[in-house]
Amino acid sequence: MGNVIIFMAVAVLTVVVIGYTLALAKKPAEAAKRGAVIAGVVAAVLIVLGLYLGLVWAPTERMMGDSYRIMYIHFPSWVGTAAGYLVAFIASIAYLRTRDQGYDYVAASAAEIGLLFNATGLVTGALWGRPTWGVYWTWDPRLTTTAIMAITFAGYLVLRAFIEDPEARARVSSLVAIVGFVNVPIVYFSVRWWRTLHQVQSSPETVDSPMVWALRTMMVAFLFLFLYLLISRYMLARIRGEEELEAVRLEVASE
Amino acid sequence: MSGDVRRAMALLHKDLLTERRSKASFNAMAFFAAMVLFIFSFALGPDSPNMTAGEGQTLLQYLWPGLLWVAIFFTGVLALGRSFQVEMESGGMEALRIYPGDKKAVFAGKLAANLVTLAAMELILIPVSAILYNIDLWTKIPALMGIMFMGSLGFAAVGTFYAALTANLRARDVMLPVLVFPVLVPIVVAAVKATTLIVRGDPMGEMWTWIRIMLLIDIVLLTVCTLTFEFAIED
Amino acid sequence: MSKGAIIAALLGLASIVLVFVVVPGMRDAGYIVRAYVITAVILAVYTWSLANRVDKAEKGRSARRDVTP
Repeated sequence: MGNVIIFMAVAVLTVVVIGYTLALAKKPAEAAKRGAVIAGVVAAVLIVLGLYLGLVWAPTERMMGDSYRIMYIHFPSWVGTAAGYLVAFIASIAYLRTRDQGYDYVAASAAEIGLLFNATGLVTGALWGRPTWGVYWTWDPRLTTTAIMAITFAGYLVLRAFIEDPEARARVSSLVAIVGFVNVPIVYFSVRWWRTLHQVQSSPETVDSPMVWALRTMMVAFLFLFLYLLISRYMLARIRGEEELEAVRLEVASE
Repeated sequence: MSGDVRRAMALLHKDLLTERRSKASFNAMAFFAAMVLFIFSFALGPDSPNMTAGEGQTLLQYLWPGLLWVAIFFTGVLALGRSFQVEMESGGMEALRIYPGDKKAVFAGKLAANLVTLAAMELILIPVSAILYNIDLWTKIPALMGIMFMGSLGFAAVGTFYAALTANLRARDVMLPVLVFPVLVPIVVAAVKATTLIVRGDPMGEMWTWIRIMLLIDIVLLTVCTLTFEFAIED
Repeated sequence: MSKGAIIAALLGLASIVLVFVVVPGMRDAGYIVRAYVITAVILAVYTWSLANRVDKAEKGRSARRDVTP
């Protein structure tokens, strides 16, 4: 029963976040700012609370000692990663259908923030893996998939730097985001088949109560941090994008 | 024959003729492929004392499936990068854009041309590597051909798609591999695994699973790339 | 510096201080400290940089709007 509630909560949250980010694409920079401030304040408060709960309040684990505490920043990183890439995917589809540049600003911002959290996720994963399983890296399905996601969206950002025309840039990177995102579950399942035919997957152990609350706090905190960063990055993209369009218009007018 | 199929075939025909007329470029690619195989030989040694892979196998024989596919992918990316060269040199994608009918036919034609090029390269790579690394393939050729086709199909699909996307970039030669590689990972995993099963036997009957995986990958990639190709060649 | 940047820097520093106060003495402290500090640095530096860039862009735009008739 508890799992069903959690699943529904996550589903609702996902829909709300995606709906918000799609609406964001239509907003001028000033209108978006309020959302950023609210998200930023909530994130800051929750981070402080979460760090206290995770580092001070939660007890030492019987078997794993204290290194499990890394999960308080490791799993929340995946919240940011998943949110970023999912928003980039959906905004890219929205761009191709409407050609509204706002969706491109959202997609590019989301990809960048997603990559940021992808990086922290990989780092914390390696530093947690070493004391727990003795290795910094292993080619298990989850780690491999997240590494592939990082490469995909790093390629997305690098590609954008090479295309000067804003419409071409938006169109090409939308396609890269869409194909790249569709590829994620394919990678996950093929690596899973590749590995489990030979060895059993290991997952983190189930967590009990005080730890769960610290974890949930940090995960929500990182979700709000993601939103704050996304909105801010979007504001920057929109202001710069409009300047770019303005400059092109002036250039054309003066010819 | 429906108009679209005819158009796809016409495009395939035109592309292959252009390739054949520039035999030099195909020869250059074949040479590159052979060079990759040679370099593996030198890098991994005929047989280092502590690196035999057991069961009377040399390291190269053990690694052959992986090395073969690496050679195919490296050489293939080169070939794919040039597959829209003709269009780019003569006025860009405009020629493809004004092609009558569904753009899916254009994709199919280009994909088929690339697939033929890949197949030609593989027909060289497989025997040459088998000889160089002393691998006995005679009885396994039909099965091997099947796996080659399925792996190459997925590779050609995403490769053609991304080649169209990056065709007019200065940095195409670098960006194409960067973009293709993450999408290639499932194909690499499945193709190498299946090839290994062919060459070294399949004691646990996994082959059917891997064939289904490759089919699924090919279907998904073909679908996504075909559906979005018209956006890829837009102005 | 913008407000967001200052808060990000302070929060980052505070979390690093917290980690160095609470964690040493725990098992595998080295890994825990490194994980938290590196994450805090990555997030704080990016947020600080982003907040400043947005601030500058906003100010630049309102300055141009004041100038153009």
